[in-house]
Amino acid sequence: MTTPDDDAELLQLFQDETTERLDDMDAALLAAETGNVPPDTIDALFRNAHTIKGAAGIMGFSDIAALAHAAEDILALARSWGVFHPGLAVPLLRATAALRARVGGAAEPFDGLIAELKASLAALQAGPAATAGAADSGAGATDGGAEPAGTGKAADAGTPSAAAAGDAAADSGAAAGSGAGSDAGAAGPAPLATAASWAARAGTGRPASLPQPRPAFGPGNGTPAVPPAAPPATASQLPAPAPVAAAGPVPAPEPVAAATAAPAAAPPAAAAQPTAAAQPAASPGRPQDAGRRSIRVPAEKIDHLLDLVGEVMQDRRRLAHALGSAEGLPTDAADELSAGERMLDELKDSAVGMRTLPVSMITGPLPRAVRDLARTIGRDVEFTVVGGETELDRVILESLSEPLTHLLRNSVIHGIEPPGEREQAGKPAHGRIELRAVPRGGLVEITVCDDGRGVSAEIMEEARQEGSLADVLSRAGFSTAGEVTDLAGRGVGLDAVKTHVHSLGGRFEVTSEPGHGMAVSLLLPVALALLKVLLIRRGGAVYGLPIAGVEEVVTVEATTTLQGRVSLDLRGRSLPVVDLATVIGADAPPLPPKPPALVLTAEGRWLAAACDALLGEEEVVVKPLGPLLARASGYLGAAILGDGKIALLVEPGALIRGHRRAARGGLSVRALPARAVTVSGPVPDGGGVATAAAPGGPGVSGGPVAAAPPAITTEPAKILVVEDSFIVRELQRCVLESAGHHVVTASDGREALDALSEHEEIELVVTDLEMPRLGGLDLTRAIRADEHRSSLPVVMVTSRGSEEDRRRGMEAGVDAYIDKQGFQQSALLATIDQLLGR
Amino acid sequence: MTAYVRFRLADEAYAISVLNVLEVAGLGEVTPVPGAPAQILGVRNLRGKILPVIDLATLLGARRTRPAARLLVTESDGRQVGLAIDEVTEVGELADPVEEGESALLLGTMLEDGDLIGVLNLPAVLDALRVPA
Repeated sequence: MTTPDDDAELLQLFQDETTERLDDMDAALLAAETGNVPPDTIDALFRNAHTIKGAAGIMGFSDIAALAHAAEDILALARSWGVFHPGLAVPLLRATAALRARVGGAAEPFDGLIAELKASLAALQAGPAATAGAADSGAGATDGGAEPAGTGKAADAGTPSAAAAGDAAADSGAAAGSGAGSDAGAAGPAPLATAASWAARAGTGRPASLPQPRPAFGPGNGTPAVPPAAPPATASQLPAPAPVAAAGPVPAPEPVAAATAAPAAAPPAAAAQPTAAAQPAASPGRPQDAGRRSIRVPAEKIDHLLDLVGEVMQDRRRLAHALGSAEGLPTDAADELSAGERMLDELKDSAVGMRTLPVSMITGPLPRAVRDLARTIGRDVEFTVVGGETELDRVILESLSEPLTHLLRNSVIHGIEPPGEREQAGKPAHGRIELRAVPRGGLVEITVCDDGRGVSAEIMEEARQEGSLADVLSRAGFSTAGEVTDLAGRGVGLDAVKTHVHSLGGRFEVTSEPGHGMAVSLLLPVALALLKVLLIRRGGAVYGLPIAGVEEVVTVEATTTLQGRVSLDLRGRSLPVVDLATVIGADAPPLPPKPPALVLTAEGRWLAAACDALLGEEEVVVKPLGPLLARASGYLGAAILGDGKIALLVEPGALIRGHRRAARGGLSVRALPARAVTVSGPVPDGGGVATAAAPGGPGVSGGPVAAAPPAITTEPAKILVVEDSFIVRELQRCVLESAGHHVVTASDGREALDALSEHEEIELVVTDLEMPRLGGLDLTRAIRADEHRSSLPVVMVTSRGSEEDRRRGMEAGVDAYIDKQGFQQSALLATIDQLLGR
Repeated sequence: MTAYVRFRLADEAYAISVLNVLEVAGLGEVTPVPGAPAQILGVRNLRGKILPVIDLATLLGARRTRPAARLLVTESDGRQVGLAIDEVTEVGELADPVEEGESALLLGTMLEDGDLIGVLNLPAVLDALRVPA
């Protein structure tokens, strides 16, 4: 009948659906824990448990069915009373957790849990002796009655709505046990003391009064109780015979047998129309599903549809392109065209809409995870999800599950302080964590923020210097956790999250206020297949960069040049300017004067990538380059433009990485125009830098570039650069590296001493004067005092160029001074050469 | 006897099973992909699909005197690639290649009408490109 494929598909369906239901149940149970349980929530809980039971039965997972059934019984009772005691949430949450694990493939037996649930059910039912057997299937109600009654009850139990059974049980329980509060309390098993005692209280209260208005539904009512069971009656007709057989021979003493028999029969009814059954049971979490019909479509079909829509749109653009040259289009034709355009836009939106899912799809298990983790480590956390209805591409959404879990773990573990500490800090004892999804144009911003301790002031300072907190925190191995726990530090995972976001063409940001919390934002495209890009041209080829990754566009005008490396001052920030073609390794003629450049940032680096021209912004269909080109990394894919040309879509992060690689290796040395022109005389052996420079024409050459100073070729040496300013440090590194030296950096004197012991081969030190912890003078003294390094040349680069400073420097043992103000890389390099005796 | 598409690459003759060939087209506009292996000319828009184009001459070591002009659109295990060639000379049957060639990229070689013909092993060609150099 069913092929293995069908089976696999069915299994997948079952897993998906059950997981969804468990998510809903968890959400409701968590709400229930706080005592907020409207009757329709109990109703939804019950229906979810019931449907899981039914589906599991069909799939042959009798253990899942049994556990779901046990949960269902409790919920049936709660439903009939219209009251849900908070104490019930714990055992039920345990049950949903076990079910979730089982659906996910775990194989823990449920026997203990089922017994526990049954015990709590028994406690709930309170009325001890009289109702012992009445509990599960309502079989007890047939005590005095004859066969027909049994049939009726069994049928009820087997219907999708086992309310009748539950009601019956409640009724009989109340009838027999009203007033037996203390008994029930004693009978209740220990682990569920709260539920039991509550049940006892309830037993004297509500349940006792509830049945009274409905006496016709009491126990011993011989005629089948059709009226209450009316809605599901037809569905129940099929399964009915089976439970009768099972329930008949074993009347009262073994309620368990009856209980398991019932679910076995229930499935056909529930699963006969999976979608129909699924829809009405939709949870409170997804109100939009209510009463709506849906069909399941394989994702590939939707992808294909979107692909086709993209094609049609491109076709449209081609047509517009062709018509653009034809003057005087008849008005009716023009009207038709624009009408078609509108419809096409709508078509595109709805096709994209099919691929997108609400963020709530993946947030289901999160409240539970946060709660569990917070409890484990003794935090008091209130977690909210805002904007769960915001839609995102299915593929992106699925890939976010893990990163978001990670961010939340971070917030719980490292962000939120223990209650005592919070109170001391004048904050409410319970911390707040919020996951917020907000649509922003063609993008969606997902933020995880908490009101915990935030990052330290030192880290903020570091971030200020490096330009981005996100980069400081996601530096590999970085952790804000004071001690390393098995729960891991904050940084390692952040790096992965950031990389993931970048690979989706998105943006990753972190903000924090020390002592007051932290927010991590992921700015992501709504649809993976459609990307808003900025199209640019370089060397005859067209490239697209995701809008999300471009900070701004500037014109490369007033640049400064150091050792052939061009920088641009952007509101006080010095950005290296590179030729896009150079960074990605494309062949291209020199750039025009005053070229436009895209300002990009990633990993703490800023970069202005210059190109020939900006072509504009366009929403393109992203097509994969395929496995053969997987090695050409750095592309998000390719897009086919209106004129049929292909635009490669460049990932901004890859450009920055490429630039960094180039700054260290030989690749982008081709972009050093000055060197290419001025290298003269013999090229030293192994001077890969200098030789590589030769073929390159002027790279980012505008006017200023041509005026670059002559190059100095040297034997490479390992040089330590000590400088607390990130920008100056990197500048010096660039200068030295482009001259072929190997550079080690340190941000103060102490780090410098560490670096010196680590890298024995360091031949020269370039240091700043004023630095935190250990300044340049003390560093020099320490070097002079070390017998192994006493003769190590030290060059001081400082802005305090007074005679007095120089004198003190010389006394400390500084070999040479370079003035920061009039910083000339040629002077620095010449000095270094001199000191190294070359 | 299997049907083959015979084609020229520089001054060398090759053949590929028709079962691998989807169509023959003009080379068209090939967009270079910076950073890609040298044997990949770039990508081409084939009716809305991004098709990687392999510089077969470079890959096989044939000495090219003029740029490729034609494109063999091929498929192997669901992977579609374009092979840049000079021209298709013939489509027809060949006796199955008898001699094992030295190259892993060829299924074998055979002599026909005095021409040495290399029979392309397309899956091997694709695999060769996927393995990092």
